[in-house]
Amino acid sequence: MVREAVWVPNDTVRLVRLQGDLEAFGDPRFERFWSTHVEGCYVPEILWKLAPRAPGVTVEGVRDDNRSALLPERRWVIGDREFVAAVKGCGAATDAYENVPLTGSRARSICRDRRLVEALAGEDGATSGFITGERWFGNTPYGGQAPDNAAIGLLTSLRAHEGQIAGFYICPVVALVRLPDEYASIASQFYWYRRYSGTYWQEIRLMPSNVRVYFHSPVTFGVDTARAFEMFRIGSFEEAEHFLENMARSSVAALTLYARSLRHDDGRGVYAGLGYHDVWLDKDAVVAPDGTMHFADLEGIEEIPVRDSDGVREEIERQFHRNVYEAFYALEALAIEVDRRWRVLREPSARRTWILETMERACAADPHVAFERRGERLVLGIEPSIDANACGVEIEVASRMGM
Amino acid sequence: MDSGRARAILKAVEDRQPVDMSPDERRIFVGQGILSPVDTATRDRWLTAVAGLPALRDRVRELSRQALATPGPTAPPELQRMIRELEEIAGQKTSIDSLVWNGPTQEYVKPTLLGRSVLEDLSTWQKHLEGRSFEEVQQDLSTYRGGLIATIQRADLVYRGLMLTEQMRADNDVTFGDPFTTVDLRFASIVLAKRSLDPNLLAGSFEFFNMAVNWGSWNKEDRLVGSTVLASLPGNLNTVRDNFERLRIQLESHGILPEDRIFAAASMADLDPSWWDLVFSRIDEIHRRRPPLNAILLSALARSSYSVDDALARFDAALAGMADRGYRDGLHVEAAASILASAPIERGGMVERFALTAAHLAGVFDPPHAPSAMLAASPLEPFEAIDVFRDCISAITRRNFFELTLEIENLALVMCYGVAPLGLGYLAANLPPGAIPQAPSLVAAVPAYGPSWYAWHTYWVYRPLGRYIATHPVHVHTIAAFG
Repeated sequence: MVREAVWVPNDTVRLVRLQGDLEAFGDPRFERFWSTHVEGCYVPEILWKLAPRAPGVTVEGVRDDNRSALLPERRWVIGDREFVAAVKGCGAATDAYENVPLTGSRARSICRDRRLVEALAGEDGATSGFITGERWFGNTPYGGQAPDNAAIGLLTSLRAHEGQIAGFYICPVVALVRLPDEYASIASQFYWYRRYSGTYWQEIRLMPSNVRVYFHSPVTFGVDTARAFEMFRIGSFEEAEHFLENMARSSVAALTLYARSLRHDDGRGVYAGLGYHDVWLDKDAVVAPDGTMHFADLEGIEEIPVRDSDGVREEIERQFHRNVYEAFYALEALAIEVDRRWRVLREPSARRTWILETMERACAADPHVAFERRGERLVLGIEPSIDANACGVEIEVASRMGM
Repeated sequence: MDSGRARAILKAVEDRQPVDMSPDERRIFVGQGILSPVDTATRDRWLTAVAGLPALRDRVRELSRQALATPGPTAPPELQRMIRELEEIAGQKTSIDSLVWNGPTQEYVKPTLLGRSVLEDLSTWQKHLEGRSFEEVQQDLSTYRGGLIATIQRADLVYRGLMLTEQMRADNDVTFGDPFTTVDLRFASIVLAKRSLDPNLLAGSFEFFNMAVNWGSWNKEDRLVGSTVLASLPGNLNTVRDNFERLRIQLESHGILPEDRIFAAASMADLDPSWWDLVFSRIDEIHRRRPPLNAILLSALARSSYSVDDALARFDAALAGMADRGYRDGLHVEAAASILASAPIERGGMVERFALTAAHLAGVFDPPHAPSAMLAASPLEPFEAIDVFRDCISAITRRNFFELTLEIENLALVMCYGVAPLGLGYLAANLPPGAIPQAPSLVAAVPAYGPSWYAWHTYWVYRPLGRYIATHPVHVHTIAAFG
């Protein structure tokens, strides 16, 4: 049975879908979805009005995070999960330097072209988002997407089969599409301090939900767990336990991504596995309605090369400890909500025991990890996809079970 | 089975100590899913299976690796079967560790999650279980929790009525201040649902007071608490309204400022007019001796069952005791002290009770002082009051009677007033709040301050929350950062 995608109701984003002669490339496995459902570039309506207004169709999206919009009418099924399309880089909703909407009047205040200032005169209240030319976080246009970041995301996504990389679930990238020059040249006239130099791109990806772990959603799993339960229709303890199994299994996969994606690059004579660069589970991963954590912001996942097996073990440990707090925060939030609803885990120690025992059971068949109890301790053995004897690592997950 | 005996057995199982359960006792526990029996043959089979776990795991891992390397939507059937087997044996491994031997039936038992929960119940309410059978306690707790769910269902019906009224209000209907939000109406609905009247009548009463009272205030919270409290009172609607307006007018001549008058009057709305003179004289006296005291604090002390001397002495003792524990200064600490001082609890234990509840509510309410004092003021033991509060949270979340997560505890605090299992629900609340005008009787065995509770709640908890919601849009968590 296919599990339907879920998204958080939020502001409407008015976009204009442009088709025709566009520069785009993507994952050939999604070619049918691209051509039948989403093909095109999605320009904020206000930006479209400033340009010569190429023929386009108005599309209403749902705001997701700051520079993305969901297109809930456009859906695709992978395995037994439904995904909705999302456009990343279709305009920022918020001013870059103040926590206020980036309205037409705000856009006017950062516009460097007098003609465009005049053209925006009637758009004071427009809040559909705007793609600007402000250089932001390295070399990314604020509200848009840079080509190199988008390409990294696509390359990572291409490594996935059926939406996962050796058990690590992702929000797959369908395609990258370049903003036509006439729009890019307009966007580049809007900036606060530093002007972005480069092409403007958008990333079309698939998401099973937009409920993130702690930040960047109107509803997040860690903050609004009760709302998340309602949205995911978790109506009984048994359903919650099944949800926990999926969340625990996928979290452990996320914590051991380096090991499970490890390969040996014979050309360079190094080991390489996937690592997280400036991306985190709390804001860059979403929770699917069945509890499986899916990593969304793939632009921050790249290979990390190391010289030898010592380096591999060090990187596996580093990755686990860098991210484990966020994963366990989500698991604890789930257990706390279960206790709030069904009053079956009243002591914190009971919650911890439930989480660890379920995690142990859920990961029993994972070829890359093995939980083992050693007295009161719970130890996780991590076996990389290659050279397991030399590169395997043991990590203490709990120092005292049941306490 | 005696409930004390039931608790002793479950505690032993929890501690993994051998038990001596009779077949009858076993039948009750197993029948209700509190304990799960495991015969020796099954246990031996589990032990054998667990011994083969490493080999099976290695085989599954090998096949999983092969499956991951082969693109395809599903794992091969053999692997799927082995994974199921592996998960089952992994579960058996966990179970073996929790098995406890029961001599009389020559078998092992293990606790279920429900069993752990039942043990928690028996431990929490232990003080009241003497002479009660386990079955009776179970039945009572089940009825009580079912009652909480039923209250939410009634609240939902009231809420629908209130929402409909709010949506149908014509543009030219004159109301004072802003329209009520859904959050406002859920608060009112929970209070009103405690009355066993037709939900439509309750919604109608609320609307009557909302429109018929001459509020003289543009403050929405005044209308909300006033209409809610008045609609929660029994009696003729016009009489209730007239008494309320007379109270407000009279409070004017007792030094209560206009901006506090509705809250103060609401907190006394259940008092029979024959008690007013006594309460007003106390207000004057407290005013004279403590001029800066806030009107809400003042009215709590004035309508308590203590003389002015006693009430102020208790207030000072609460403040001093709280200061000793690090709760110093500020209106919220004074609010907590006034609630504790006016409650029918022993003076020496006031602060201890407060500290116990505050430890549980820190971070749940911000600041936690007044809500902690409200629960500490309950006739229940503090940990019992906390348990009831959590049961209310459970009912609200399970029925999804909220929109914003931060509403849940707020509604639970309103809901838990007067509620308890085992016949411990306190009189003034289980009946329609304020139905019995016990007022400042000299030996009040139970608190009779339902309206005070709702006024405190609105003033100290709901009002700050409402303002937070009003000034923070729902997408407060979305900021311009990475992503």
